Amino acid sequence: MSYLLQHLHNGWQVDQAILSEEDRVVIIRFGHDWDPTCMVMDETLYKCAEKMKNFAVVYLVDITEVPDFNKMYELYDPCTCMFFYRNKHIMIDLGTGNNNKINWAMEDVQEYIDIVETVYRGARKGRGLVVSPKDYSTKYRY
Amino acid sequence: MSKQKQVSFQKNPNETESQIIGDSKALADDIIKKHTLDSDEEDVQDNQDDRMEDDDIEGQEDDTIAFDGSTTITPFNMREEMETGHFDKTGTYIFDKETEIKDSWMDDIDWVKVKQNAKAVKEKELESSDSEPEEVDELSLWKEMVSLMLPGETVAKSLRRLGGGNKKLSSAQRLKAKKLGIKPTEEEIKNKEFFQTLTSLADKFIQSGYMEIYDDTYEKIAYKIQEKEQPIKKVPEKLPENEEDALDMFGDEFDEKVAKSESKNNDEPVLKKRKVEPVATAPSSTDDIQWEYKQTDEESAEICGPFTSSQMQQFVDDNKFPGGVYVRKVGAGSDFYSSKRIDFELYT
Repeated sequence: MSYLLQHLHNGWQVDQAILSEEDRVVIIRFGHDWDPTCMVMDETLYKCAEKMKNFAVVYLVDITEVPDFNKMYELYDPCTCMFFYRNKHIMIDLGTGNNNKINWAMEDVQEYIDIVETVYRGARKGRGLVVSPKDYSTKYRY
Repeated sequence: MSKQKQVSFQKNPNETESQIIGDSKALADDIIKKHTLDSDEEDVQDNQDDRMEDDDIEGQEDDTIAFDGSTTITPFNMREEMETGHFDKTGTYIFDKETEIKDSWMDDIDWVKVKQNAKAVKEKELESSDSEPEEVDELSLWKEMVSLMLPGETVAKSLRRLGGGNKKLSSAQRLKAKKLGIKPTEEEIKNKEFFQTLTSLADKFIQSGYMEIYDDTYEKIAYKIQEKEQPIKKVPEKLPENEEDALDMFGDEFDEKVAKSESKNNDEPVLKKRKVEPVATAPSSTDDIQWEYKQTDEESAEICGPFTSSQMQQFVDDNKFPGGVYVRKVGAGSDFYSSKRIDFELYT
């Protein structure tokens, strides 16, 4: 787990983080710092954050501390990553059937950056749904 | 039941032209009637068939005495009510509309004309709401602003430097200064002018919907100017390098520059489109992205390329990869991904 990624401690901060970012993708990881899945994800996010600082920013949200979004975003999984661009939720076709979020831990840094870059490019061109370069349907079955 | 009001639809072979005209006139009158002040009330057709007759109301009694001492006795019947209205078959009491609210202003209205005008007005409204606040000639505005700012300053900071720098004088002090004949120095006057120019420039951006203007730094604005000028042609002087010249907003050179940029902007409508989205620092300039691909996912497969994003998009459009190929970005260290899942258009 990394303390170098910024945590958001209440709903208002989350809203502001999403709202205030002008031309970067806002990545929000919902989960718990102590959760093993989140630890893996956070590690990846930490490694990515510097590389994609020009087009994306990462925030961590504890879903127990900030339960405001649990219902709206259906945050039932141990670890959920969601993408926002200019206050708009960007969907990604990951092949999993759930286009709203990445709800597993990703370990491959480059893979993650590729997804975020696709999100960024798509969002900038006004797309609400982008297709992730990789199909995750075979790997992560429900 | 009164039958005289019932309309007969039997065609009268002797019907004359004038009758038809009369009818249509009646129809027009009817339309106009609907536009009376109480037109939003239900148009109750005064259909005699729907009326409840006096006999249908059960349990009525004849009038007895009008007064018992000083107490008024209301007779147990509906006679009084029937004078001002009637019941329909379902028992709803309906007031007779005898006295229509008349308004001489309403009588004057030519409804045919109103209808025509309404259409035009609606169109006009649509137009005005659609049309964006007037596009500002941003390039020249940016340039003008940057000329008033110092490197490293935000617009707000510049304003503070130009305007807030001199301390506020109390009225007594001001009076004293006036008595002594101390006039504001030339620089102060100049600063004040710059301050006003900068404020009005910033205001133009605010009005065009760009709210972050006060937080923009000299460098950011300079970058924006550069961004805008680049696609047109390489202009040697992107920025007023010479601070002196640039600050001298009345200098001929500067005016020329502004004029030049203005004319440039008019030639290039493409520019405005670019401005709609604030320029983001893209992951890597879109022109740089090159792709290579191989037909199979095997290690040994031959790698073709590199190709640019637009070339790749062309390949996809031409259906050159019917089964999909495995592509990756050159130099990014990514894995090979199926071309089916990659939208090359995003990279162009």
